[in-house]
Amino acid sequence: MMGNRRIILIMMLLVIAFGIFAQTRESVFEEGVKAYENGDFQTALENFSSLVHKKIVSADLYYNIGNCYYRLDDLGRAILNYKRALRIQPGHGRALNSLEFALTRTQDKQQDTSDDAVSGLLTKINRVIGLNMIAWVVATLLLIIVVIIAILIIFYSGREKSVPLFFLSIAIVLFLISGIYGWARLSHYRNNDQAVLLADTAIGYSGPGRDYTRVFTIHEGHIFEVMKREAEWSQVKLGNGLGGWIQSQSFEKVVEKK
Amino acid sequence: MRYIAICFLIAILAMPLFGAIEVQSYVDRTKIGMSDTFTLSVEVSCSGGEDVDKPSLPNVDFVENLGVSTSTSSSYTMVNGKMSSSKTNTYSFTLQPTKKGNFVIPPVTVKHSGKAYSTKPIGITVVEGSTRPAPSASSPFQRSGNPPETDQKLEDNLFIETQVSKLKAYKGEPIRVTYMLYTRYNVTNMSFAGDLDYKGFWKEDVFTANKVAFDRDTKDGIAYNRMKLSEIELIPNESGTLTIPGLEMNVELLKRSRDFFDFDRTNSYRIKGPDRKITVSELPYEGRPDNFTGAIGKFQIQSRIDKNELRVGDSFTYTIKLTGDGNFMKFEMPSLPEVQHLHFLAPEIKSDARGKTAKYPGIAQEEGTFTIPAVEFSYFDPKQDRYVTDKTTAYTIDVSPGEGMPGYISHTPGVAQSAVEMEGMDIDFIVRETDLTSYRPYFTRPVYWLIWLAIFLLIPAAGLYARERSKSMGNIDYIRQRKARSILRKYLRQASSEVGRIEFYASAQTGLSNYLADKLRLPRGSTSEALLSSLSGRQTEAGLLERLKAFFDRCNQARFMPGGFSAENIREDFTTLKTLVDELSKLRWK
Repeated sequence: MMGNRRIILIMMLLVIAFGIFAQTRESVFEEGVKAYENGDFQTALENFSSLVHKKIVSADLYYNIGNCYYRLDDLGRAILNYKRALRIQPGHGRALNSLEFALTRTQDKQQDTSDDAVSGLLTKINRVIGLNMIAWVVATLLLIIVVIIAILIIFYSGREKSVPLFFLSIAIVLFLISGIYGWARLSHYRNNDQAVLLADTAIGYSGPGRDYTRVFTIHEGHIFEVMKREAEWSQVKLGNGLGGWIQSQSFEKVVEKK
Repeated sequence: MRYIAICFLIAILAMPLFGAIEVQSYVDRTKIGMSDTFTLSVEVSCSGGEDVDKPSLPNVDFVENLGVSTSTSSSYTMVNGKMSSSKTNTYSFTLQPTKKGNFVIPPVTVKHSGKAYSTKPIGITVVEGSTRPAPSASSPFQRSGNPPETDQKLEDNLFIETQVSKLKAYKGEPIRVTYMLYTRYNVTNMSFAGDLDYKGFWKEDVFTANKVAFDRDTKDGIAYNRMKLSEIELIPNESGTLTIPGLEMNVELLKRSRDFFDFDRTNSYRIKGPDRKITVSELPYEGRPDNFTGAIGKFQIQSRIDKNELRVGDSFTYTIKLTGDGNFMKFEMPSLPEVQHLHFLAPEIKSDARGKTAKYPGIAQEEGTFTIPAVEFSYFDPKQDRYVTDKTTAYTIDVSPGEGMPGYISHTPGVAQSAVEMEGMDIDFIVRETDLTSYRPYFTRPVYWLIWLAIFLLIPAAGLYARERSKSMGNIDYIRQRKARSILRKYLRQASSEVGRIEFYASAQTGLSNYLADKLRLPRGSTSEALLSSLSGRQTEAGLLERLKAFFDRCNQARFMPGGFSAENIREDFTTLKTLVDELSKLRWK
């Protein structure tokens, strides 16, 4: 009897604690929105960032942080956070608009590399179909395959099997295609090498050190790929194909450090 | 009837008598050396085709007539089935000057049908010596003849004239400029050489030549082929002395070969017309009306309304039209006065060089009688050197109550719409509401893979089910065993409907024994003894066998001695049967 009551008490405490925790998360977000509406972008930024530090991964949150940085005239961090929002939700409309607009304000001209029809279509597909949607599609196709196999086992022993086998092969092909696509999307999500320059300017050298030949100069808000990251210098590759080494603390990767 | 026909015939024949006569005279050169001869040509064209008297050269003392040659050309044209003919006689007098100095060849007179036609006087200059070799062609219009030497006196025989409609203008007053090409050569091709810079003017093209087409014109007594190159309207933007640039052209002239072994050649020349200076003055300040918006010229203002009896909510169109001569493109339409309860929408304005029209779509908003007052329009008339104000007539509109709601607006078609334009760009607003759930791809969640596992487990489950199914399909006893209960239920139903009657025992016995036979996998119709003995081999609750045996005995008794059972007994036995069935169904059958 005593034991039961204690368990109920602990459970109630847990529920309350969780409720308080949830309450504070939402109120922190609401306060951030209020501060943003009143023009206090610094406070809004602190509120939204504190939620990110609580391990909340949300496209909307990153988007709001990007907007705060944009209003505080930190173009590099604004672009970085828009990219983070789009990594989670590639079809986030507002983040796409704001990123496009923010990129027009950077000193370096940066265009979307997806200009030809095929990659343009792929970009559109990537925006419309989320990673979790693919997960559902793959699981549903798997279920269909298993159901067809079960039907085959149960009802088709010793009978003509061509009709169910036809549907089975279609389902398997679709399953493989969506599975491979999902796998590619997941690896792109996990191993995103993109980074955004946060310093005003960065000089790219042909090797890890200032003694090497200067190759290029990029400016705040430039998006590039990180090939190799070392403590002081990182090897990067720009959108136009130029490669070089820049200082590691001048940029931040889109995928946050764990 | 016959008289009418004759009169008609006479009229037709007499028509040439009423034909117009044109007389033109020209010289091939106006500057002549003492030792040269020159040609005075007199052309007499008559649209009728009959002969005209030969013109006589006036008596002058500074030239000597060396002879005259006559050429005749006729042309017939058919227009709309009606034929007309014209005949041109050209009399070429070869003259040699006898004195030096400036002289005027007096008009040459031709008499015809008692009427005298005369040409314009021609001024010539006679100098010492020879100016040039005599041209071999007597008429510049003979295309087959050799053109005059192109390397000599080009500017006398090929030039562009800049004709302006006025040399003094007010700022904003349109000036018509015409560029004319005059030539006595055989022009094969030409092109405009670059654009002109009309500094201080606003320019509008009226005409631009796109093909070579000459007509004839006499200028200073010399006949030329003339072509209108371009016509423009210039509106001065500045006051002071402004320059209208001369037009520049590239012209190709055909030079005929002189001997058999030579070819025809074309030579290209660039020629430029003279610049013209225009004095532009500001419009006077005195007497300038308040509603003057820059109209200069001579205008007429008209107004029109498409209906003046309306219902509330009806639309109508009020039109103001300006016609006349002036700078239509450069001023605003007079503004419409506000009329209460008549709502005017933005007007549709059309302007061109000939006029300007403004259509105001209006809507009657209230009932009553309203007056659209006269619209005043002021312009500056440069001919009178003063401002003129004109006005339209006023209109009265009767508005009766409408069918629909008051204030209902029916839109007049044709109102100009405009697309919404983007005025600026910014980032979007932040997201105000979100569920703050942390994103994690399903692919990285264990629950997702557990679902996969569950799906995969369906396959062995299906295998198990299939095995069970095939086992049952192949075994009739198994089916009997499984269906026994439903068969028993059928008999029991039958038996229960027979409670109170003696037939109950027959149904009860058949049902129960069939049930037991199926469950014990014995053939149907086995005796109750066989059934009971088979059942006795199994574990049963104590007393069940005995009670079954007693029940079967009672059934047999009832069948052989139907009289000994009351309704009360049968009801008791039915209860016994139900207990027995309950107990039997709880048994484990194998």
